[in-house]
Amino acid sequence: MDSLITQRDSVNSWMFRYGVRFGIYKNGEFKEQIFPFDAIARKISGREWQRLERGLIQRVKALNLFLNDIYGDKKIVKDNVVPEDFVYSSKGYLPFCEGLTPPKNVWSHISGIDLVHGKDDEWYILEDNLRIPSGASYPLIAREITRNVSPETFENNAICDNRNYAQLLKNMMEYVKKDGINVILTPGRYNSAYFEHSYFAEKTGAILATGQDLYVEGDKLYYKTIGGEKQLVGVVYRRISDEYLDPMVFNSDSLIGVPNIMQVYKAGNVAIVNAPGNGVADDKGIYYFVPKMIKYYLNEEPILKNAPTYLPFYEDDKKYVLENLRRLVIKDVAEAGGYGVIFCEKLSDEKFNEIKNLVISQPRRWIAQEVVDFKELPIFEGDRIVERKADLRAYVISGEDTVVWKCGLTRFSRNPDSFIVNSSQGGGFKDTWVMDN
Amino acid sequence: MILEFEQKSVSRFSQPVKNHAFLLRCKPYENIIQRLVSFNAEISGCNMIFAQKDSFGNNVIFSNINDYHDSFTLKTSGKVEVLETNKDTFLNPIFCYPSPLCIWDNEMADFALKCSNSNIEDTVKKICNFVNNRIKYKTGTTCVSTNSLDAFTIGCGVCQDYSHVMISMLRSLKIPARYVAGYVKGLTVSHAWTEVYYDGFWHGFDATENSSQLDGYIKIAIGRDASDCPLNRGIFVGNVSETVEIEIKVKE
Repeated sequence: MDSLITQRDSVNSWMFRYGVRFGIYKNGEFKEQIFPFDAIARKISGREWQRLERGLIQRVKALNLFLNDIYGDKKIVKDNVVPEDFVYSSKGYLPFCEGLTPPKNVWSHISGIDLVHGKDDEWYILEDNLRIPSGASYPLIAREITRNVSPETFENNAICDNRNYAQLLKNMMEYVKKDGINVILTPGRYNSAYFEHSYFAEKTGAILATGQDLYVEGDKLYYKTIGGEKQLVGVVYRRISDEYLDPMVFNSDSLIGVPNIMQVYKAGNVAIVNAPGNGVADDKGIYYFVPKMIKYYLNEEPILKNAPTYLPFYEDDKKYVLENLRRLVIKDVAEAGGYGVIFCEKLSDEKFNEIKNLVISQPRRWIAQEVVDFKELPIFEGDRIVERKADLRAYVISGEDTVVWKCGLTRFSRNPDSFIVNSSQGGGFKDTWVMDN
Repeated sequence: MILEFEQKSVSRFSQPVKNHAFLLRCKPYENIIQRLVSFNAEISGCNMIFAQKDSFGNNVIFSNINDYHDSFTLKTSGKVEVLETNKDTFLNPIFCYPSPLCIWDNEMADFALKCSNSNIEDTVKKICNFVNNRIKYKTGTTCVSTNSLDAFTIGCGVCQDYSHVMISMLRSLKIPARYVAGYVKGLTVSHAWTEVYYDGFWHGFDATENSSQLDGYIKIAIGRDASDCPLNRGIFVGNVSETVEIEIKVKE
């Protein structure tokens, strides 16, 4: 790895030229930033990866079954495994999807599962992202550049090739699609992940389109070519969230969606990747129930653990949470991206009491978790190596089979005191080497 | 009882528009207590109309007009048969929970609690009466996206707001309630009322009229609240102002 490290400045300058960046909104202003890359890769042994792989596949299978059940027979609710409250008062629950079955029964085609590696050597799941998990392009492009800058690193280390990601995406799209072409639907170049949308379109051979390029005629979806020809669309990998997808059934102010696309979907004439309505399964409240889902649907013991979580919704848990609040993390179930996460240990007394009262008055709104002391990874800060908290987002693709991409996005916090590693909170990333041994 | 209806709505644009996509709920709801005998729809400038049911079982009609046009006319007519029945119907639990436009606070829940007693029908009637007194009918004070809490706070609104407030108060007591949009004998515009689930089926209540005798009511669409079942939605290309005229006639 040494040769790679000595050339890290050159890697970052290539990243800059490729345009590897992400946009963030801060104080109402849109800024594009470079997503800082750290040259010291995270290594995961082949043996450890196998266990992760099995655990992730198991989890994603259960989540897909859950989505199918919730919008269908609702057995898990009727059997009192998941309380109704957590389903029907979830913001991600879409009544529109009631009774719907997506093509080939796949709901979460691309799942981004966030994990941390605890100091006890156990991997803990922090969050499931089943809507439009982003970020896979970063490690892909970092690998491409590092391979060019330091080919010997990859000759001398048995590192699993990660270049098949686009192929995995493509295979999945080919499997679920109806008649027509493959399209990646982007909100446009001001979106924080636009770089990634264009990168995947190029790599998978799909057409990159905005809402303006697509239109519905009858119960079919078409793409308008620059020459004015129309082409039938069979699958849309959309990078637009549910509420903006179709102004006729969701947010009527949306200008980035495609009017009546949901009618085409309902008629079974197009596949939408990921399926609309998935938000009901990656809600922070539902997270608590995922291990129970695995037992319920698959009749298996969960291979990967959740971080120890309490639901103030249950009286016993509420009592425990209120007694131990000072050392717990509180998360607002409606928030994502590292927002709405409160470390109670660091709060002033005034703020602490405010949170305590909120837990008492709106128990459904929160989950509480033990602070998982997770491993630090070495990163470069100038010429010095320092230790920082890092997580891992693993990408699980569900098509004909459910497969885990042998790589992932390792994000680290730049701030030595912070446990929050989201890119929107200013962190950086590393390559993740899954070792072939 | 057989009810006949005719509906005509005309939208006029100040300048021609194009790429006009629309989705309409104008075909009556069909179930065991309302049978559709006949239905006809005509849309100016559009010869292909597509029909589907939404997840609430409402009939939806959708299509698009790509060429420039300066008006949009929808004419419908038909006959429904309203049947007397008290057959058990399926209850989807989503009608027990808050929804985008039906939310409540402690004050609303307290008022609901004061109306409640062991007799559910009586409780519902008291809430219907309470809402009818509490909200003053006044157009222009609320809009289609006003939620029940805001309508309750300002104390006025239109039929949609009466229904939303009533639904929210009932749901705060864990009584399932849903929103109904439709046509009513004697009214030339569409109306909204409430259905409440107890004794195994849905019972209609009209908080605007403080009534549970809903003779001459034709159900068009249902939902958790108005945002689930707008009667028409359209989007087009053109920077224009739009005027809409609607006329509805219902007769026995």
